Amino acid sequence: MTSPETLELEAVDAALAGRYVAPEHADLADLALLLRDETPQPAPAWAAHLDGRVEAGFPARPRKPRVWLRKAVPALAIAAILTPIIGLAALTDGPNVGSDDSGGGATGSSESVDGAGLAQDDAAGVAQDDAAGVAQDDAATVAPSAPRTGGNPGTDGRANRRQERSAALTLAVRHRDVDRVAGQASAVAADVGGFVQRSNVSSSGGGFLRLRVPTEELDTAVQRLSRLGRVRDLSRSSVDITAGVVSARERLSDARAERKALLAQLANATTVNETESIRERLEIVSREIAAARAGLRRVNNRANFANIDLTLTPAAAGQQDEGGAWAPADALDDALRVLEVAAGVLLIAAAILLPLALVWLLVWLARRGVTRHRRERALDMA
Amino acid sequence: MMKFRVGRSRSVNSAMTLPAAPGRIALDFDALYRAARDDVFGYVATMLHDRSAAEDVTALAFERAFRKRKSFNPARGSERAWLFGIARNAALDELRRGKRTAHLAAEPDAVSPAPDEELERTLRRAALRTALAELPARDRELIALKFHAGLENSELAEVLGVSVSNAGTRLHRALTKLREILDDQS
Repeated sequence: MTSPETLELEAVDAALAGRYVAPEHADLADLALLLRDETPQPAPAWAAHLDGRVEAGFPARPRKPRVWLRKAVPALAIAAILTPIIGLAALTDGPNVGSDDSGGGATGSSESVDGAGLAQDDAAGVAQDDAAGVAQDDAATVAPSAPRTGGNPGTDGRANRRQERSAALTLAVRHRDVDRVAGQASAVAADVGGFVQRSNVSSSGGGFLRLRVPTEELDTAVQRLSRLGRVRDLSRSSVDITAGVVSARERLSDARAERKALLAQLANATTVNETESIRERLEIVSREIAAARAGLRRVNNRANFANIDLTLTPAAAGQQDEGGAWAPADALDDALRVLEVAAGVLLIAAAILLPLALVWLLVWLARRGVTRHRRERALDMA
Repeated sequence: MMKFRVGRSRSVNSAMTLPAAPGRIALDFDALYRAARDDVFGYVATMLHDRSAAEDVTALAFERAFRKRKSFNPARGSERAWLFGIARNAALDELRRGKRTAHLAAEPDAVSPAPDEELERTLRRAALRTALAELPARDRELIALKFHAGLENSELAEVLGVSVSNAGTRLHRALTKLREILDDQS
């Protein structure tokens, strides 16, 4: 059933459309037509002016320069420059991408690396052992009262402290570069006066090398080794071995003093039995001196030579771009790397911009709601 | 009085019609302007009761519509409803600012000797203007949208953001109030 309200509204529409209106709604129809005829009309001059503006596509009127925008431009420019740089810095986790090692160059198989390493181990190791041990034995003086723990001899002024230093370096290299990098690492060790103590290199599974380098060349060697691949991990450690050195030296000193005393007794011996007894004792003391000297040599060697444990791990494609002739595979690696960096920069930019956009959206929604509320309120108050 | 419609014969400015996005119909701004210029002015003038302000607001509304013409989506309503939504916001902003003080509630009629029937009609029109001025702004807006802008009830509902039945109810209520005021006057 149609309500009176609907019927009246239909009568209004019929009157406006010029259709038949029932007599009972004639007054309403008359009012509707009268209302329509009362529509305010624009002045012709204004209408012509607006027509012209529409025709011209509403030419933009000169705007006041936005001072805040002008001030913000430098800050925005700096932000635009810094964002990719920060992104790149965050993505580049190694200090040595793409650099080359001038000290290396010899390319050898795993066998040759091993052989070279062992040869150096035998020759240089023993030579260093003897030289260092004897030198320390004869020349170095270690105060018996030296403290046995703590401190850095380079900084605490206690020059007689001895430390055993070591470093562990993990490099990511491409599968095909494992042998070459192992060879270059051996060359680096040799360059700084060290040698390969142990090595185990496989072209498919990476490799491990224990390098022994003079302690004072440890930093140089690590720095040069780091250039051979992408550094995955680098750790350094040091152990105070002053107590061991002092102990070994004391043992040697005591044995020497005893031998000196025995030699004096031997000179004063009057009987055969006494002489034999002293000689037997001298032999024992001589062995003790040899053992003490070897011990001192070992402990000095620990202080004079540092260990570098170099681990070579095969890197995934695109993660290593070290050396070699440029090939399509390298191009693919480079392209993937560029894409990775670009994606990283975009991700960082998104991480920065997304919260800002969210805040902007909330502010916009709130502002829109307030504006709508104010408009409706203005209508109520009009 | 006959309702005046803009009937310009000039060619459509190519900038007025934008290429439609996929799934959308291009908005012919020139045609919309020609069809709605006087209607928008009539609606705004009734809302504001100020010819000068109505001219400014109407121009502003068309300029906004021109700039926003890319955002028009036929799926969300007719071109006219979209245009009158913009005009409504501009008019309400003007009301909110409340800067205008000069009012022109009614246009002066040409003073000329008229027969009795014409005189009676003139008197009725004057009474209608007075009654319109007495109507609350919300009701006056409904009358303006329906009779001065010539919107269908569905378009009226789109402009106000209400349902069609609700728009009809409101319009009927506004008409009833107007008739009551007119009855009180006579």
